[in-house]
Order: sequence, then C-alpha cells, then structure tokens
Amino acid sequence: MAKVNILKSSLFSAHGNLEDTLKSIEENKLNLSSKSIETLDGLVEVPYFLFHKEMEENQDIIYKAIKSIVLELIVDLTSEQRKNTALLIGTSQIDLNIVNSIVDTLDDTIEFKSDKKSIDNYAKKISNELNLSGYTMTMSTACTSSANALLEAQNLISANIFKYVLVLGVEVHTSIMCSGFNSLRLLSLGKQTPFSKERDGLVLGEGLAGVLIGEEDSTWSLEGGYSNANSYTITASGVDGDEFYDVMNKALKKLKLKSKDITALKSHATSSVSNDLSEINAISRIFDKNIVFTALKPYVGHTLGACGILELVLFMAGIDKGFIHKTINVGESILDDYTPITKDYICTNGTFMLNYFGFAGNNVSIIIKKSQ
Amino acid sequence: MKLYIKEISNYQSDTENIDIKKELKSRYKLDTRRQNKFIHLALIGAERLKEKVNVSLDTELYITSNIGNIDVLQKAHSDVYLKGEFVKPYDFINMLGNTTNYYVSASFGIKDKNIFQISDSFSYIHSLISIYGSIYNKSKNVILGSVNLVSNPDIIIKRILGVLKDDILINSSSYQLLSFSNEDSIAELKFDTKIYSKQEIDIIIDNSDKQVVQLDFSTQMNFNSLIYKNITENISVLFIDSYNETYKILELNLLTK
Repeated sequence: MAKVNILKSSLFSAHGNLEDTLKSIEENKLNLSSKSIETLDGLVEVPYFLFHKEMEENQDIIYKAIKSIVLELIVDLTSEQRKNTALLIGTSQIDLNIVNSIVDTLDDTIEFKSDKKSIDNYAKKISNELNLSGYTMTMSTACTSSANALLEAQNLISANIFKYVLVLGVEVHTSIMCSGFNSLRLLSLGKQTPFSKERDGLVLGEGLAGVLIGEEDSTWSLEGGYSNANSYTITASGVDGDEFYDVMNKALKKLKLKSKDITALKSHATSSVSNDLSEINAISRIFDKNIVFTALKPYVGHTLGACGILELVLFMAGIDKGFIHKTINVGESILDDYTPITKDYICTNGTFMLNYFGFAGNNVSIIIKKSQ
Repeated sequence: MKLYIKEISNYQSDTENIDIKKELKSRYKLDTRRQNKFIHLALIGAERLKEKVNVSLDTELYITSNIGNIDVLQKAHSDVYLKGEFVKPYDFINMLGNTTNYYVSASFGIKDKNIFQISDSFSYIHSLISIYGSIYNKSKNVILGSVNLVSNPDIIIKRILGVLKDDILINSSSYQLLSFSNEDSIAELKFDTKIYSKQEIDIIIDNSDKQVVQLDFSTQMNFNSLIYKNITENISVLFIDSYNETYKILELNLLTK
C-alpha cells in the first residue's frame, strides 16, 4: 500500500479552533454547557460541550462551518491539485438534517420546493464551489463514521484514484440525538470519568474537524488500520472485549506490527459502564501494563461521528507540542495496573494506535506515525 | 476502473406485491422483532443474494441509500418536537445507518468491514469508486447494497430528494457481489472519476454503440435495480448520471458466465 501522509489538520470544538482548544485544555478552562432534555422523570439538564454559537438546524451556519474548515485545509493546494481532491465526511447525523424538510411538510402554507438539505449535499456544493474533484461521500457508522472515512480516504489515494482527500468529521447538537442517548441511559449528569469505577456515562460534544491527506512528505503518516463489524449485541460489546481485541489485533497484523511497537494509545473511552469495561479488558489483552494510554473525550465531549478526526487532530497537536495529553477526571481504575496517564506524557514521535468503537459493532483501529 | 458483478439480487415494490416482513419470517426464518421497515427492506434484498452465492466471512459490506431511513426519523421528530416526549430506545437505535448494516452483515455472516454511506447524487458510481479503492488494497470481494424506502406520506421524501410532487418513487433493495476478477462474472462495470460537460456527453451519446440510458431522479434512486433489470434482460447499457448540469458515465457490459 502506498504511503499516505497527513498533510494538514484543523478542528473546531466547543472551545473554539485548535489553538483555542489547546489553550482551554492547558489552562483547564473547559467550556462545558448544558441542554434540557425530556426524560421519564421530566426535564433534566445534561452537560454538553456546545459551540459558542447555536448551530442546531441552522443549516446556513453548518454549511459555512464545513466550508471554512475545507478552505483552511486546501489553502496551499494549486487549482490542479484541488481538481484531484476528494471530500469525505463522517457524521452520525445524516438523516437529522432532514428535520427541516419534515417541518416544512407539516405546514401546508409552505410552498413545495426542491431544496435539499443534507451534509452530503453541502459537501457536493462545496466541492463544486471550490473546484474540487466533485467526488464526495458521507459515511454514517455512528461513532466510527469519520474514522472509517479516513481509512476509505487512504484507499482512494493508494489505488491512485485521487492525489488528495479531505476527510471531515461533523457533529452538531440535535435534540433527537441527545434524547436518543438519554433514552439508552448513556448520558452522564456530571462528568466523564474514563475507565474509572465511578463512571456513569458520556457527555456529548459538538465538533468539526478535518485533515488533508496525500502522498507528499509530512512528519505525520497514516500507516493504516482496520475496520470491522463484530458485535456481541447491537449496542454493546462483550465484557471480555473480544470484539475490540479483534479489531486492534487485525490492525497490528495488517501493518506487521507487534504491540511493543506502539508508543502510545488513544482509547475510545466513552465512560459508559459497558464500553469502558470491554475496552480496558481488550487493551490488557493486547498490551502489557506499561502501555501509555489516554482518553480525550473529557476535554471535548463525545463528538460521535466527528470523534474519529477530531480526536486524531487533537492527539497529533499535543505531540506536535511535545506531549500526550493526560486524561482528566480519572478515579480508581476498573482494572488494576491499567490506568490512563494522569500527567502529560513527554513524547515527540512514535507509532500510535487510535481506537474508535461504535454502535452495532462497528469498530475501527487506526495507526499513525510521527517521524523525528 | 473496472469491477465485475459476480451475482445480483433485487426487490422493488412496483413489480412485486409481497408482505416483506412476512416473507422474511416464513421463507428466511428471520427474527424481525425490534426492526423497522427500512431494515426489513434491506434484509429482503440481502436474503435473495444469499440464495445465489456463498458469502465468505471476510467479504466487505457497503450499503448505500440516497436518503436513509425517513420513517423512523419522522416518528422521532414527532415524539421530540411535537409531543415533547423522548425518543424511544429502539427508534433511536434503528435510526442509525449502521444498525441496518448490523442486521444485514449478520444475515450474510460477514465479520469484516461494514460501511453505511450516502451520496446525494452519483450515489452508485461514487460507491463503485470507493469499492474499487477498497478491493485494490485488500483484494477481497465486496457486497454493495442499495436500499431506498419511500416514506408515507411520500411528500416528505420528495421534498428531501428534490423531486417533483408528481414523480413516482418506489421501494427498492438490490445487492451486487463485486470483484476485480472476471471469472464466473455476469457483467462488467466500467467507470471513472471524470465529470463530463453536456457537450462532451452529447458526443459520447452520438458515438455510443450501446443503448444509452439517461437517469432521472427516480432511476437515480434505484440505480442498482436498473442494473439488475438490464442484466436480466441481457442488455449492455451506457448509463448517464447527472447532477446540476454535470455528468458521469457508467458502462454495463454483459458477460457470458
């Protein structure tokens, strides 16, 4: 497989752009907001990492935000290079952008109009406006959406179909998604405490992030990874972590790596009761207790379909600054000898595994490398 | 780029009048509980392909849809926005695209890659391009499913798809087993990433020795089913797909198995 490098990256979280986000993390000033949601017990306020400006169902803002990330990523590309650039988006909310059309149909006074509103339609529009290749695709595999998009993008370059691929992760708040997570009792009313005995669920987050990948030289390379469908039940993996072990093991095997070759691991770590237990058990079956691992969701929330790219960008940005971000809110670990790092870990290069596990057993393990 | 169709299956509501849920239970002995119409539709096409081929554990699965699962979204929308209630757990789970993939991959016994993707236009050709990239790198066969459910009332899906009020839309579920190898294949698909102008397309049409089919909104939505129809009728076709006055072409060449 041809070498594919990560040439440029960008993100926008509840704390602002990448620079603002890193500053918020460094100063421990995290912008945690909240949303009211209807539950069996009445209205409940759930913590939520929200953008400063409300985006829900404001299609113009979502479109402009996606376009601004794309513009930032392609700024150095020539017009010829742009024509050879595909655009892939990972999001869990493809259908949710349709809500406006549903609302329109409920009001007979609103004229019938062909006004498509979807993430993929925005991608098409942006691709045309910016003279990209016109090839767009939107992946929707829940929390692994943009991680899958990244592996698909690598295939497109390795097969010499495109020279460059933009891969974006997009997730904005929608009441339906928030209510859905709550109905499965997966939301924490406090904070995310990854791999801790007191963990009680996840905190959702809004996020937009993107990378430009291609064959040109870069200090960061996308070595590859594995994506597979393997589930114990539709919403959970087995306690022993068989499914997570399987995808991590296959990623290592595919790249002819041993676990000792991995410098550090970015875990998925949703802080949900079952997912964290399965994940820590899988980690302990692949790596010995010296493995350096961290969880980034406590900083930005679980950005669902966007987390594949958003956490990748955040993880790389930390190492570019010389360290791996510590995990915050860590309590007593659910597995002896396996605790995520609680102090920033000095690290400037190496080979890293990033894991993403989604509903319906859609699991992805990605391996990236930073050269010295 | 070329891909070969090893086998193909199809269901479409305008040519068959069956109770899909009943068919899944009685003929294929499937447990259809906790699933919705979109998942049932996805499963009927999958089961029909399974009857024709042996699918290996490491086959990859791509399911594409022009719009996804509108029915469940309408219900969730009504629950949250109109009634002020919360989304029911299985409505939420079934709303996610890869829930459909979960049931379909379980039906095939697939444990490898499993992607649900949407492309509002050039959906079929763009999926073939993704799949070409995947097979190029992993040398595994891929199943491509296309599932499109018309919501009831259909006015919502028509607004979303941007089709005319009077257009007729159908439910469809069609699957193809795709490979790089032409051995035992029934058809060849030729495609590329090029976008053509109207002028270029006119020249291509004039020079084509094949039957030319220009897709409209309705046929774009059921492109897989159209491929099935032409394979069954043994017709090689040059398809022309379009979006906002840009065009892409796909050649379907029939092979003798």
